[in-house]
Amino acid sequence: MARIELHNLRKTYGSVVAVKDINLTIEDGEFVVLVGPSGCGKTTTLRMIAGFEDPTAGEIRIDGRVVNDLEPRDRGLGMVFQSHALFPHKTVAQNIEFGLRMKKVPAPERQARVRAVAEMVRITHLLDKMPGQCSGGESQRVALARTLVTNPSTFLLDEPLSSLDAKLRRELRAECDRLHEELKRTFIYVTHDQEEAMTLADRIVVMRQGEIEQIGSPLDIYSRPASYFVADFFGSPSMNLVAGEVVHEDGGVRFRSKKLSVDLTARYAHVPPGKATLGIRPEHVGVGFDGTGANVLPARLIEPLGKDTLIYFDDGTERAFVAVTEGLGKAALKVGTPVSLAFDPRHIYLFGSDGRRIDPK
Amino acid sequence: MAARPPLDTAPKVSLREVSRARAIRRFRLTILVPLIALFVLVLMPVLFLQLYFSFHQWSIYLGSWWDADYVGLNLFTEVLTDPRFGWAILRSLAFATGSTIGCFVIGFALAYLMHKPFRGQALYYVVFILPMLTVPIVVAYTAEMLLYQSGPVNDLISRILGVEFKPAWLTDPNVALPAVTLLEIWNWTPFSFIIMLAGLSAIPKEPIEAAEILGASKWRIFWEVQLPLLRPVIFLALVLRFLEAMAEFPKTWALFQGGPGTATETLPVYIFLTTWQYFEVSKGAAMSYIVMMLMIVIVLLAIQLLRREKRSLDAMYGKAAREAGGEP
Repeated sequence: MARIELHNLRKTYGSVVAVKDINLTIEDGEFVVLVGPSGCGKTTTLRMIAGFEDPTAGEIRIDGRVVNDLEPRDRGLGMVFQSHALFPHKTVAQNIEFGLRMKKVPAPERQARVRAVAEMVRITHLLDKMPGQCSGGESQRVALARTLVTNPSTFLLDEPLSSLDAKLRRELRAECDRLHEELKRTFIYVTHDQEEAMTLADRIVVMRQGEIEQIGSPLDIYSRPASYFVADFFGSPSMNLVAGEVVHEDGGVRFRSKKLSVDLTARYAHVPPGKATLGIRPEHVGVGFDGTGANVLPARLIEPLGKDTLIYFDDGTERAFVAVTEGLGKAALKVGTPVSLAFDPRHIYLFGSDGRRIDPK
Repeated sequence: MAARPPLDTAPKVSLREVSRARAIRRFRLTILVPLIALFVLVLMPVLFLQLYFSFHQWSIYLGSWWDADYVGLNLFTEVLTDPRFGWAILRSLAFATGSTIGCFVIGFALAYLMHKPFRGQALYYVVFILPMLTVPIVVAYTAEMLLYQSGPVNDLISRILGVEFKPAWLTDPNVALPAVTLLEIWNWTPFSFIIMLAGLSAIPKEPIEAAEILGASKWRIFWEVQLPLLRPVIFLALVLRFLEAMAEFPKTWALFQGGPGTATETLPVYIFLTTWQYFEVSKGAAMSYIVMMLMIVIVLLAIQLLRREKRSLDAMYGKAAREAGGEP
């Protein structure tokens, strides 16, 4: 069983700070996903936990014991790499068996365990093949099996699915989820794919420039993003984020941008006037076709996706403003048709000039 | 391949493809022409002259080379029945094998110590490369000075051990060939070092890390992961060094001229002696031809083995290659 604690963990390369004093406790059996854009320090953090990188400062504890000075093999962890990292000169069976052989498990037991694990991830038909003969998805299953067989207390997964195509990714994502359910082990999963993070995690750790931006459940992260960055990172299509300013007029509070003017209602009455960013998810933008209301914009592009239809608008900023309507009812909409946009005040987010979310009263 | 839409006619070659094919052919020619010219103008005449001499008995001081007597295969029989030639082959093989192994073991060990970045690495790199940049003749003369019986090497060893240590490196027939082998090792270890360093740096680090976290010791990782992945490189390092060592002449000649006795009479030395000390130009030519045939056999074998190594490497990384090719 493993509870992993990071205390003020820091890693620098010369003058570059890769990981900036992060603190994180991962509970036993938890599925934690470290997510963020490339270069945010998530892989470095994982590699420090694994023992491949020495922290510049701070502590890593596994079950209360400081492991900073332990070799990777003495930490009781298992790791799956982005590139699969199979031994190309050994058969699949030999690959899986490797960890057991290193731990001097007797041959008959080794064979039994290799077989059991191969059945678990459904690769028994591959056991006698060379890794070079396996497809990308098969290779990743073999890599999973090789880690599973040693029965580690914690699984470290470094972007294990990013080299696979979309369909395989979904399939193996489900596999990871199932394994976590069955094994009840701690999983630490690194990815830059927000969708993977949302579907797999018990808890998501959003990282940015070496720091933790927000920790929370997928629902938390989605519905209560702590900052502009998190709001922008999660959700597909991503949240509409409109730069503008908060103004107080006629006894009310309004948000104004180049082409939009939104009543913020009394919930945001405490916000002082000044620069701010308004956020609203595309599914919360109401659309009407009577041409009335404060915000009427011509449709720029209609994207029928099947289940939904996306309507794009030009709101005068660099980013397109997107609204989602259910079904294909609006698919025949002509480009240029004026559309009235409605902003449900309950779903409006406001971000200050420092990028943090401003809570409503 | 993705299914193509059905075509009414046989696939036509577009003009663009034709001009492309032409450009490629022209490019190939530009590269090949100088090589062919070099072969025809420089190598072929030499090969033919040598062939001519090996079938005609000519001594430099007796008449024009053009009027030399045709002797058929006599010279070849003479060489092949010459015990001294047999010994020269054996000595060359012993010298090449010994020095190749020596260079490889030391070169690989140094490369292994050096392949991970550390402070001052560049300096070590330069130091380890230096011997290879030293002209062989300089190596030989410096060694002659150092190995002199009352020279610095023996003197230092005696002082360190506290006992008299005076092997006659340069005059004892039992020590001479090992001595020149050691010099060859000193001279050419950097070559094996560079190849092995390149090989070690080219191994992807993930399989090694995977082995590490799966519980393998450094020794196990070396033995079970790094060494198998290095096989083709090891093979290349051994073959190239062996072929070079078979042709070693300057150090052996400068130090020993084949002596003491015939202790260091390797193939190149014996051929040189025959041709330019005994002036048996034709016998020398016949010998050269035999040695060339021998080397061609060795090279062909080596190429065969290298091909096999490459195939096994391709099989190992087959998937990566397929993925890079963009096929499903």
